[in-house]
Amino acid sequence: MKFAAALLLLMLVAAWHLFSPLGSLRAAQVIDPALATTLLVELRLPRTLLALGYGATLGITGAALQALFANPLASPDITGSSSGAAMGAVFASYWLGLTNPIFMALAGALGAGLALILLLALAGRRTDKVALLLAGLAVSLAAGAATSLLLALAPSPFAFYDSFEWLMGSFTDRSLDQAAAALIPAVIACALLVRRARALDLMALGDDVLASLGHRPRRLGIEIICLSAIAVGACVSVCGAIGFVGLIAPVLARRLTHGHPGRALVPAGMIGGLLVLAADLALRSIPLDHAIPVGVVTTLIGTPVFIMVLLSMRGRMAS
Amino acid sequence: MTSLVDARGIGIAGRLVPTDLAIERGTMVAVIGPNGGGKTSLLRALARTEDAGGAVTIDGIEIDATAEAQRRRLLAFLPATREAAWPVAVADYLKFGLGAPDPARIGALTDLLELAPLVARPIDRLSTGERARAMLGRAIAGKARLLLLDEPLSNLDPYWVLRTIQIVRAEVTANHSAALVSVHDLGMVARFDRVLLVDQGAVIADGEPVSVLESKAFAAAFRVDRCDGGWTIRRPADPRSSP
Repeated sequence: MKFAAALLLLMLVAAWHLFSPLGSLRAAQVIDPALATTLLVELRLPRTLLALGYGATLGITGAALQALFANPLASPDITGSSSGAAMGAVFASYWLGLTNPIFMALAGALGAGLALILLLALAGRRTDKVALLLAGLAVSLAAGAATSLLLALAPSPFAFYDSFEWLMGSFTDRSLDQAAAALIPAVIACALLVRRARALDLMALGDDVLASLGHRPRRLGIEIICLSAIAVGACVSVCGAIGFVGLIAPVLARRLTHGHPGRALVPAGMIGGLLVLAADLALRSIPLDHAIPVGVVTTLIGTPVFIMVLLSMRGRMAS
Repeated sequence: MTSLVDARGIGIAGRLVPTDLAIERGTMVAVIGPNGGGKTSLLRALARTEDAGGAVTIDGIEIDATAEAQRRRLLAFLPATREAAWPVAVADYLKFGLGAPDPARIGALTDLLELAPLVARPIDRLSTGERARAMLGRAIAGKARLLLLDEPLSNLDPYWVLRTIQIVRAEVTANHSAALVSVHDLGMVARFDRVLLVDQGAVIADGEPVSVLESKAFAAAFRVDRCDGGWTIRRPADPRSSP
């Protein structure tokens, strides 16, 4: 029941996102009904699908990674996969001159995969949670620096300038092909993550108890990291990195699931989709001379929430 | 009739040498030994953690071949840690011990462990001793054939130390199961049917409490002697007399 209500709310916001502003659609309808359809399907639909799908991906992967690391501060960024994917996409775009969204998504997933291999090499086969968290931080810093270097040395003198909007996360002027290249891998990977929700709940009892119940914690950990990398990698290659949603959505979702980390995956996906749709809607409804990347908005809203989580963790440690 | 538990060559590299072990129905086995001797490794190897070697059969069923639903009926493992990462309510935490919803069992456990005032509280906000009780409840909820309890008595007050042993004894008797319990309090060892002494990654003594506590292996491993009903630190050997 609650689930149905939440789904309805999500659909309503998505529809709002798709149809607003209605004025330009009406105007197009008057000139030529085919033009209105083209406008809706070719321009509006990819944006709505990407905002909804990327937001949901961030929520689900964030919840899965937080459950895995038993840490409410883990997020897709922490595995280095967001930064790795951005690096891969930047390399493919500015150095190889690739434009096909399928190759871009592939490059993103490869970049995320490279970050992942580096992460496992740093953290070792024994996937200790703290070591993995620190290794992820190192990898994402390294990938961020490599991305800047690739942009600075790129043959195109405008690389830095026109990558700004893209790397900070944006949904404007994406095609349906691009949306498909990002969302098909993301949806498959997220579905596989949701199938592991129950095991992630039991992981709250510790890896040894999970193993005693017949699960394979180490393999599960690698699966979670790989699936998250694929989902986030494909989305980043098309829309750039969107910060904080992967961190906040799971934190909010766990309030609904009474602290259960695995059960929070689906609600976190819904909240993530809702947050990104709302951020993009807010951005569009404010008339501005400059296009502000939606990632900037999520980061601005996300930072205080992040600080709140930190403070509550500190309070718990002190008590 | 064969033993309830039959373990062959169970071990953990660098921690526990491959060990054979058989446990009979209805028995409570204490696992004792100095720190770092391998008590936890023995329990983990029986619980089939990922680094465990060898094979364990319970009721004639090979554990490694079973999936979650069947394994819940065969064994339950309580680790020594009292860490709880997520703010799950105590009632929900108890439910982790069951494969399918069973409100009657949760209610019975709540009464048994006197958790009624705590059921709605997040487990990570309880005192260590309260958390220990809730975690024990999770482990015994499924009435598994083999209970593997790693230091369930630490952090408990004297009432709950005695009460926990009583509760585990009642579970073992009612379910014709067995329990392997690691303990540090040597005064509690006499309440068990059998004692395993683990030191330097091997079981070095195995028998009834009295015989193990009076064995030479026990004195050598623990470096303590009996003294007026208590224990006293063993005098180190005179260094001048050693070769």
